[in-house]
Formats: sequence, structure tokens, C-alpha cells
Amino acid sequence: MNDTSSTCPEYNNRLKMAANLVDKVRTKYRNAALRKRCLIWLELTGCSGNIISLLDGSNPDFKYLISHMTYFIYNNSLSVSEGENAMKQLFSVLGSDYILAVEGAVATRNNGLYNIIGRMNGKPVTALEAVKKLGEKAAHVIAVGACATHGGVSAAKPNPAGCVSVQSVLNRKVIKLPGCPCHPDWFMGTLAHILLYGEPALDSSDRPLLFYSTLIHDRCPRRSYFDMGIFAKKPGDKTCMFKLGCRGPVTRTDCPTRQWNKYVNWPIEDDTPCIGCAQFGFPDAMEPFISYNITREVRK
Amino acid sequence: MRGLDFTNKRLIYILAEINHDIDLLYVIPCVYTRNLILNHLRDRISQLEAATEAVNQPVQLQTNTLPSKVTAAPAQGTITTVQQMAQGNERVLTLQELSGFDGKNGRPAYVSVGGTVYDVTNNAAWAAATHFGLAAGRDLTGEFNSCHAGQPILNNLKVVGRLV
Repeated sequence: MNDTSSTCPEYNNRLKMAANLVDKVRTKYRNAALRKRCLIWLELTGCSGNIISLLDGSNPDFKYLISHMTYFIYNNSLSVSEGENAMKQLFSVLGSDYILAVEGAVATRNNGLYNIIGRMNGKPVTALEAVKKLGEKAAHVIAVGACATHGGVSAAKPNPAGCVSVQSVLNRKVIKLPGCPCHPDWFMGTLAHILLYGEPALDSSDRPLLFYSTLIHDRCPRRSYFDMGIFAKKPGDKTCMFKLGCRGPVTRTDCPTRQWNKYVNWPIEDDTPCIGCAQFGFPDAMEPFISYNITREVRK
Repeated sequence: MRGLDFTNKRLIYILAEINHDIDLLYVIPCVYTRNLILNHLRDRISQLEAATEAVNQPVQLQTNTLPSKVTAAPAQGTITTVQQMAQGNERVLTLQELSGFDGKNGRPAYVSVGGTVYDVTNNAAWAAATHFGLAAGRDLTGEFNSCHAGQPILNNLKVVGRLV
């Protein structure tokens, strides 16, 4: 896929993990050895960035997800139904087996009135109410993206809508896929794992180890510059961007090897520092995104 | 402190082995076995040296935490004692002096935890002298304890002095 992936067999395998899992689902469906399950994609307070990112997925693509991999019951941006019909479709899953994916944070101020996702029987349905109702009964809940996993941009200061993570309003296990947005492979791989084997192995923050087990810093192609103490002074320099405020050393994802937009590139390869979008606390805790009045350079 | 407990246990274990070896040496007639035991003994002694070195590190940290408590009293004499306690090139910094080491415009980045001042200028988790919204040049004892209590990560940082 790219230069950094070619040397290590373990990483090469990890890169193919999402595609391999989905292929396995495909084979099992063909042999009728696996039960197809319902998927709900609930969007709360966010920017639709995660569903857009998923639409950009290539290996496997989104079309396979909605047509073959699951019964894709509801998404507010993609649903054909409108108004009350769409709401009825959403809540029709209650009482059956379904997997719930949530993007966006939960607005809690004024009992959730800052985010109305639709109307049922003439009454507004708040995002808070919907996520509680659907989250408690779901077989699995997957929080997709920064806002759903820890509040993210929606909960950034001053947080006028009182946004919180999905976990904060649900008293159950929530699988967390942080990232702003979440990589299509991270979601597809996690979903395929759930369909095949159930919940994947998670770390202490409930992130799947399949995708979140290494620091960006550990696999960064510019790591040797860091070790040698050779630092970039401005974006565009080809050396380590630590002094500009790169958050790669505190962010746990496989961006350096997996890369983005059909495995074409990623921020550091394109000369901008990592802003830690997949770390809990983003964006407030990851600021400043860039600094020019930097610390001294020390060569070891 | 967990590290210290571990080293203490290790020390007790090594000492017990040494005593056992010596007891054996008194009764072993065979030269070959005696040499084996002597070899084993030498190995345990080198382990003992390593463990002693490891013990020295936390002990130093412990004494470092003392002055912040001592200097809570405003007596001038106490401060002199603290300064005398500084070893080698270790510096004594006030909060105001510490705030100058904010990692900006070529200045190094220092933070203080438990009265000890650490250099985080080139620590990977402190890009641009900030760490999860915290800036360098401050006493971060409370913040450290709320996030990293029980983790031995301070041992990896370079100590530059202590805070008074």
C-alpha cells in the first residue's frame, strides 16, 4: 500500500485486517454460516464527518455495508424516509437485535433540547432521549469519532449545549473509535469483528486493539529525526515536527501505516503536525495545534 | 513507591540467597561444586550492586520532596539548609524562576512535581512545551497526581533542581 508498510509482516497483516475481516463475513454469508444483523447509525451533535468518512471507505466500500453486510435501518443523512416515517423506522428496531453506531456528542443542557433529531406523535425527540432509549437495548454500542467517544469538538470550551460523550449517558459497555473523523477501516473492521466473533479485544479506554494499539510516534517515518534531535522550524520542513507541537507522541492510532483517503497520505507525510484528533480530550487538550516560538534544539 | 517496595523485596531475596550460598560453602567437600557456588555468589553480588543503584534513585527523589514541606515555614535559616542540601549542579528554583522556563523562544521547558523540577524540553509527550492543555514552567503536582499517580514515569525525566 505504501513504503512504510512493506518491511514488517505484522504491520502488513494489520493493514489488511479490516478487509480480511469483511471478506470473512462475505464468505460466511455466502455459505449461510452467519446471521445478518441490523445496524442503526445515529447522528447526534456533530458535523456528519464520520458518515462522510465512511462513505469514502474503499476496502470494503460503503455500498457493501448497506447492501449486503447489514440491514442498514437508519441514518439521518442517508435515509429515504422523512419526518415521522423516518422516526418510526428508527424506533422500529426496539425489541429486536441490533447494533448501534453513534456519531456526535450528546447535548444535555435543558434536558437535551439543544439537539432535536425528529418528531414522534407531534412531540420533539431529543438526541439525549434517543441515545438512551436505543443505547440501553442495543446488542453493541459503537461510539464513532471524537464527539461520540469523549465529547470532542462539540464539547470544546465553552460547550454551550453541555455536550458529553455517549458513555456518559449510558450505563453499559461502549466500544470507542476516537478520531476526527474515524477512519472507515476502523469502523468496518470493528463491525465485521462483532458480526464474526463478537466484541473485539479492547484497551483500558475501550478502543479496539486492532487499530489503536500503537502510538503514531512509534511508527512515524520521521522518528529518526526526533531521536537525533533534528526538528522542523516551520510546516513544510521534512524533519520531526515535535517542536511545532506534533501530538503524534500522545496519539494512539495506525495513521502512519494505514494512511487516509484510500491509503494515499496522512498529515505528517504531508508536512503538517499531528493535532491529536484521535486522542481523548481533543481538541482542547491537544491545543495549541501549532507553535512557532519553540523550545531550544538539543542535539544528543 | 511501588518501585521501592519491589527493590526492597528483591534485596531481601538476594541476601537470603547469599546467606544460603555461604552456609553451603561450609559443608561442601567437592571443589567443583564449591566453584559453582562461588560463581553463583559472585552473580548475586553483582545483582546486589544493581539493586542498590536502583534503590538510590527513589531515595534521592524522596529527599527532594522534603524541602517543599520544610520551606512552608518562612524561616530564613531553613532555606539556607535547603540550598546546602542541593547536590552537584542541582539548582534551587522559586515558582517565579520556574515560570521563566516555559519552553518558549529558545528557553528550556521545566515542570515541577512534588518539589522536584524536571526538564521536559525534549520529552516526546511535551510537544511545543505543552501536554494535554498544560503549559511548562509551572508546578503541576496536583495535575500529575490526578493523572499519573502510581506510574514510575518521573524516573525517566532529567532532574534539574528543586522548587522552594
